[in-house]
Amino acid sequence: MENRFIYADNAATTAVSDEVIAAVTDCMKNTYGNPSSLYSKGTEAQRVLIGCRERIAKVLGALPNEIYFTSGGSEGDNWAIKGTACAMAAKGKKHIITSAFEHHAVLHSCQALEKQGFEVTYLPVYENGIVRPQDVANAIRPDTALVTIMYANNEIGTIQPIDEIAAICREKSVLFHTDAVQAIGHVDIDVHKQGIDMLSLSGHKFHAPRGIGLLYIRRGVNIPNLIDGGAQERGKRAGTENLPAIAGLAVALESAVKDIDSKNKKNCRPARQIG
Amino acid sequence: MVEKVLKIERSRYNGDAAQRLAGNANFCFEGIEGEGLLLRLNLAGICASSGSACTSGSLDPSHVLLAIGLPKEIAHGSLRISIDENFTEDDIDYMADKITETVEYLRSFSPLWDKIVSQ
Repeated sequence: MENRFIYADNAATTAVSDEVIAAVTDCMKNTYGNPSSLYSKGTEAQRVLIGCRERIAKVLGALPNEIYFTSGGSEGDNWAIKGTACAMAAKGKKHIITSAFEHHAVLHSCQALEKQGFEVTYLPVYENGIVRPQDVANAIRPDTALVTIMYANNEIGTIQPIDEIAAICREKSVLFHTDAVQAIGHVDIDVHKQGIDMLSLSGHKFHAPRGIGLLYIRRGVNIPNLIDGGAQERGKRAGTENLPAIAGLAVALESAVKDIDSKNKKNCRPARQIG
Repeated sequence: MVEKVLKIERSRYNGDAAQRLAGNANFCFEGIEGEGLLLRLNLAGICASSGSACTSGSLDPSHVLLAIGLPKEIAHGSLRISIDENFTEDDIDYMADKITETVEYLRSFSPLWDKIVSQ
């Protein structure tokens, strides 16, 4: 066999980029303080944390306080879905809408909720692998707590009509979450402009390390704390921040959204040749 | 690459051709198991996947491919390629050739394939 190596599984994970490794290493070496500590080594770490949060929020079109660092996509999906379900059940809303081909972090979260008495509608995705916004509109009921539809499918790569689905949810006053783990860096995302209420990302899909991700939660959306403890992440997800990974995430995200158009043009070759 | 791979008899390209991530291509080849294809491609130095990495330990066909209406036996022969912007034309040609070669090789001793072509 030939002595050649080709990594063609970037949807599974990506190699950590050199600039990310540099940022992570620098943070580990120099900014090792606990961001909650009051001495200067701590406040220095706090400044780095604030800076990273601001840069990440800017990329996504969000406010810094709407970004919650997580361990990755599965955590964000679980938190958004189960958290919203918990908050909305108190208002008598126990219906969730999703699609048949979501990532298992979403599907299994929904199934866990079904066992707790929630009702879940799994929308069809048809032969082209795309959810029809009209189906979302038709499925929304007065007791619908949440619509969660992935931004792009992790296996077949189809991009969902997120703007239209978000607009329908907004019009019907239903919360909308999207798992954008596969989409980031391939499509332009601006959560406020697009009317997205919650969005999950995972760092290792765009050249950041594993074990770091984020959940964007729009200001005004109240879901229960994921981890109770200290005041980290505004008290909603306690635990000392993984600052080196967050520093890497910020660098990786800024790079991922750079030149999306030219990257897509280059990578589109395979797909364009179909026609 | 897609065009080249689709020259393989009884192959298909999954998901909408326009509304998709650049760099992602998902195929099905009748008469073979995706797992066998991956292992042979690995020997040729190519890292690819049959579905998502999160479910690769499972022998069940992909719920995504079933959701787009594929029958189980076709969904079993799936291949996902996800490239990044650093790929060269040469890499892509190499992959397309290896995929074609491997599918043909696996079919050469697949009873399922014999059954499909004799129908």
